[in-house]
Amino acid sequence: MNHADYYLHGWRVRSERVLPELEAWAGAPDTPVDVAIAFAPVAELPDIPGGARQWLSVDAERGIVLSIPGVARFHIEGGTRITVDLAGDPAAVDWRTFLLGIVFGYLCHQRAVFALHASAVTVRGRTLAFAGASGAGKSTCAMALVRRGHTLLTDDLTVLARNETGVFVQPAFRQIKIWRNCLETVGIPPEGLERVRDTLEKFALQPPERFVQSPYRLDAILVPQVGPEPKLEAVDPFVAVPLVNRNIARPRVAKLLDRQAALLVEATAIAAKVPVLRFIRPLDLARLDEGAECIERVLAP
Amino acid sequence: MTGRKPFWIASYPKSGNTWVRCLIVSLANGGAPPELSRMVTWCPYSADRIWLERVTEIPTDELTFDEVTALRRSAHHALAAGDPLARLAAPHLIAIKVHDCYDPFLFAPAISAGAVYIVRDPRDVAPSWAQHAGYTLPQAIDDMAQTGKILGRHEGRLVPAAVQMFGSWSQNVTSWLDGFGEPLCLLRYEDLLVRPHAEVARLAAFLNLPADEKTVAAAVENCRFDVLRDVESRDGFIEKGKHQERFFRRGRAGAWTEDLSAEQAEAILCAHRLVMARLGYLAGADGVQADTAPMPVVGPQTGQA
Repeated sequence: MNHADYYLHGWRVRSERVLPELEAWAGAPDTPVDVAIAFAPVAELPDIPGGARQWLSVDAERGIVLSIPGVARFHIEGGTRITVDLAGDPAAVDWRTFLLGIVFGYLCHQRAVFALHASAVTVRGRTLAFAGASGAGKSTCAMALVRRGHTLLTDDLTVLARNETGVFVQPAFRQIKIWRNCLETVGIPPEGLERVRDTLEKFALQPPERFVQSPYRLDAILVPQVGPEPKLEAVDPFVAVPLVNRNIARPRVAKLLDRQAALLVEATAIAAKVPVLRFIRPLDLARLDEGAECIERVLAP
Repeated sequence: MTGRKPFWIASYPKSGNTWVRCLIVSLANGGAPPELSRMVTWCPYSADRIWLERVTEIPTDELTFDEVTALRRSAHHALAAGDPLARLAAPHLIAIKVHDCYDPFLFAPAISAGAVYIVRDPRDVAPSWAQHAGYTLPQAIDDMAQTGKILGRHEGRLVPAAVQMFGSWSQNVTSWLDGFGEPLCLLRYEDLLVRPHAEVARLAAFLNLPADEKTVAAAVENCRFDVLRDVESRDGFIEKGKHQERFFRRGRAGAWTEDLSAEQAEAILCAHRLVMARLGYLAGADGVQADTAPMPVVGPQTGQA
């Protein structure tokens, strides 16, 4: 079977199908493969009593199965193997959007790594993660900075590694997923950009600046919040731990895999090493640049 | 883990759904003042994408409208079946707020403990809906008359709520009263204002919540509109419309006589006369004052006025 090796969240990922979003693996050729992606049938999930379709099943032994009707079923095992059973057009982008997004979010918990629901950008040598729930503005904030020439490390899922010297972001791939209204407000024509789903008005923006395939020291975690004027507010250390903990990616999957306590310990350690700030920003997309300027001025002068 | 089937708290928007959810949260907590910021713990909103993501662990911002609807159905079934993942996000769930028309695909009686349907004189709904949605009054009146009216189907941006089929006001009311079956508890907003203790006791008994005099009296007191307004002023309320100054406005019945022109009131009557008559909104001089006589419980077969 043909395959290609890619770099994603610091891992060597081998796939039987081409994943054009990812950078080719540039590390040592003898590095063991961390995650192997195969394409084969995955058993259907049983219906929920009452007859509704089950979308996600989490089991410590049998693994995690995600079923997106009409798109694909994904079986994630041991944090090292992903089997994809395509239901739709293999040439369509849809299955890759789920694979490179939530599927790897679930896989993080099997690998016992700490992942934030966050996007990360390096601004003049300072690496910042924007953490928050869906719709909080993570990708929008990242886009505002990338437009000003800064380097995207990852969108939506930020895998962190910690050692005695600090906390590090493992870069993922060069893509920010942005809705049409946001692109148009900042003057980027969506025409010519790939959609993230064939039928959605959400597009994959590829920033020009490339990251290097190595960990970036994390300098601050920013939690976007809507407010009248752009500003950064330091968060009290007592609030920082629950705030980091609350923004762990897919926390209930973690709980079902009995990872909750370990993640809280890790969140505490990370909050002790990395400043956590609220990034207050106006909802008005036309004022995105003001927020980006504020970040540059305060955090990367 | 065993499932505890939730109740549906259904209504057309701006008909007292949140007020009733405040009462439920208060009743479930011994009559204590409801914490608006924690409403989702006991009574979430079925169309809230953030809640849906919590109970399914599937982000909805990369799903199509139809997929989000299918995921809502899956979440409702999973909660009723006591699915561990869904229940992790909703361990104290009592009831789920719904503004959609009744749809057996989404709200089948088999996956719920019953439904509370809240109805309010559409002439009072219209000014409140206009204010909430940022519409003019004629737009709101027109919206409420549109059969099959769908909300949230915006293509180019993320909308915080899933697509919902509100239908027209009449369609929304009759879909639940005639479609859901049993057990169904009909609450009239106006009755809740006029005789809150009796109506809240009836609601509490229906939901298997404490219905004793003391708890009911405390819940009624702690959910008075002026009290809720104060709570909102102090803590804010996430469900406030972006066009609104505050979510809890006046909590009055019959204000339409000041808010609507004669033509506007007539337009609502023309569009909804049959259903308004069925619910006692045309008693006495035509449209001057809502009837405040006790309403019988309206079931699917007995609901004809």
